Amino acid sequence: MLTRRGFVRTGLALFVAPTVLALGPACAVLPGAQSPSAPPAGPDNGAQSGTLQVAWWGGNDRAERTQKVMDQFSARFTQWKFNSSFTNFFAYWDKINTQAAGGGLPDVFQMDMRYIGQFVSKKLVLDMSRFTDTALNLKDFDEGLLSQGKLEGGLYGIPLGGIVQATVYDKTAIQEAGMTLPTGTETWADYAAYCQKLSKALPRGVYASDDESINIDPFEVFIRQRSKELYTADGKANFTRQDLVDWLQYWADLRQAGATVPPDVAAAFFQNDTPETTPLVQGKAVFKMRWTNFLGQYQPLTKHELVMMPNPAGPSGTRPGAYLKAGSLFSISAKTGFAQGAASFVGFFNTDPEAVKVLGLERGVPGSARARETLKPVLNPNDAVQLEYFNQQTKNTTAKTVLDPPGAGEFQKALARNALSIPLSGVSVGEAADKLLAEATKALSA
Amino acid sequence: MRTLSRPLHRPAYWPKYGRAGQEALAAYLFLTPWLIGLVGLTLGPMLASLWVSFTRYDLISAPRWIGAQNYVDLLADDRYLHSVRVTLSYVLLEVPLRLSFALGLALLLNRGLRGLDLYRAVYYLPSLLGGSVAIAILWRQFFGPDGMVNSVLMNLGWQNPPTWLHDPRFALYTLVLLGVWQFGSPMIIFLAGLRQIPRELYDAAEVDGARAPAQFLNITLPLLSPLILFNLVLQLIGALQAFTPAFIVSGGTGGPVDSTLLYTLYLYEQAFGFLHMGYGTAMAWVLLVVVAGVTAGIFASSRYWVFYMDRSG
Repeated sequence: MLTRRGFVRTGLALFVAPTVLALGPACAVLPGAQSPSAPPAGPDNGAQSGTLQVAWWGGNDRAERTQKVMDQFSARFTQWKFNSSFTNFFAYWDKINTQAAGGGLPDVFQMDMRYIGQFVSKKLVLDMSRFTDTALNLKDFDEGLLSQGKLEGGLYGIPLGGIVQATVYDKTAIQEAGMTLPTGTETWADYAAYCQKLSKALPRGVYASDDESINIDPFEVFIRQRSKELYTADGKANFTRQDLVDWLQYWADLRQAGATVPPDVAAAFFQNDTPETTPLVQGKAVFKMRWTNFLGQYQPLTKHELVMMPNPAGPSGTRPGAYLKAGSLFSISAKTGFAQGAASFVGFFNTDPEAVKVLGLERGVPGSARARETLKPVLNPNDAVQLEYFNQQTKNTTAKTVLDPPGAGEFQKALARNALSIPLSGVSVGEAADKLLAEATKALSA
Repeated sequence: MRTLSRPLHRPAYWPKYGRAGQEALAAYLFLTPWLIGLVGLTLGPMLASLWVSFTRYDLISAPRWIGAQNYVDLLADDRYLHSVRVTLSYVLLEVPLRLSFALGLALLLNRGLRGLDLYRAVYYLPSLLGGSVAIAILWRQFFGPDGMVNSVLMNLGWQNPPTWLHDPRFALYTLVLLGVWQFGSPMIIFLAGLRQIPRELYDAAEVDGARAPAQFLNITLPLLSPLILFNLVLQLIGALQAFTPAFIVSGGTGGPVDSTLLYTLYLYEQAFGFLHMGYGTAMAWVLLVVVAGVTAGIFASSRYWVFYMDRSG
């Protein structure tokens, strides 16, 4: 039996090893551990000052933590003030796109792997390479994770944490229903059978699974289990009509059996999309497929005990569909007037011991070795679980080889809309798949 | 003014302009800030957007001329045609309902109630608030799954009331209701109009034995028709461009399953969500032409139903 510290250390080694190996011989080996007395990077003293605009998507918990770190930074470097905003994922991207259009992007803003390619190709974000050793202090940063922010020979995003797809479930609800807990090795068929059985044992108004037909993340896992990426290297749809039919039919059957939340609940969640409005947290669903960092966001919102397990697997012999992802990154606007200050803030965010403690694993497992070292002794139980799970699962991942194309956001919305049209508008699965494929082709052709 | 301006020195270097010419010049000089605004902030961007509507433009790369392709694509875009249908249902329901409400309440308030000012203010209040984001959020809570509306309905014994905002059969009607609720400004206008109608006409009608409905149809409606025209045009234009409530209530999605995808919402999604600026501006120009057409149509029809007292003699 490993002690907690023991498993954290082993786990971190497991986390780092495959990602470094994945990069191949061309990549530099991680530098040795940084001496702990190295001062955190700060802006050139007095050389610059101003108000940094910072924006991100996420719930209230993330907002509070982020605000605290901004306060810490301002307290330390009094020449910097902050002006920040946050909202849910979809509204965030509408706003960021609008700001990009007006040339008014925030100095520092949260970036997603589904959008970074687009922003880099349009030259909207700053190449941070020149700050690598200074303000950003990336010497001990996990290369596998960092590579996700490197495109076209530049460094355009600093990953704020590594995450993996997962299924979160409400352990308390399952125990109260008198069922045995899932093993985490279920295939999609097993998951469906389990949910059908569970839904019969649950009280009225509580459903086994959230309706994930609208959710692109498990859909991507589902497609990747079929040994292909969601998109081709030139940014076209890489799934077939049959793939879509299989996916939509799977959830239609589960819904029909009463094992998913009703469609209006799914629609409500899609429209609000915050941790607080998640059916799992509201006690309406027992299972929710999300990313590892969401456990920490969901757990404080419910009295029930939440547990994480892998997404359902494909039929035996298929490869794992999950992949290690930079949950979110910080990018700096190409037009910022405070490149140095913004980079210092991003560096502070990732490496300052106090900041790291405040942030925990809310955005995922940090890339900086020093940050993980700092966190080890202070992890709360949720975060410890997340880290343990993360470390177990990183070996069950396959690296994602293709960046999402510009139309990815549009496809993400089209998936949700067409999936919901099946239960809400009485569209057949075949029809929905046809429409979705047509919309995907159109969205991904631009 | 004239006496004041006399002692001022007439500028000797403007000899060829007469007094009137100089006043015009001065007027334009004072109008300059506004003219700059009009040309720089309204006309210029409008013309630029007309050009953009003939291009493919993602805001960041340079626009690429594609002729009328955006307009052709509109006709083949199911979601676009759907958004037109949604908008028409919204407008055809909301405008008549709002105007009827406004007129009905104006009639009630015009009966010499005590404390009229208070009532007027109270009924006008929603119009001040209604277009705001805060009210849209309130509406979302109100009609939400655990909102007040359903709590009341459940207390009244309805076991399983619909989730109004998340059921495509009802979502649009909650927005219509929010729109109708903002009947205040047409109401104030109707109220002012009602007060202009000469009392003698009603007295004469009463002497002739006309009852209230007949009086309403033969005196009130015709004499109010210029204001009905005014309100109708204004409300139609407003309703065709409705955006905020649908955006907030549906979380920007136009959902559930596009049931509240108003024209402007789809325009916004295309332009700012997907960065199809050319396509979005093409939509905007179609809307502009339609709004202009509808307005012109109403004005053209007005000679058949609008009655101006002074003109009829």
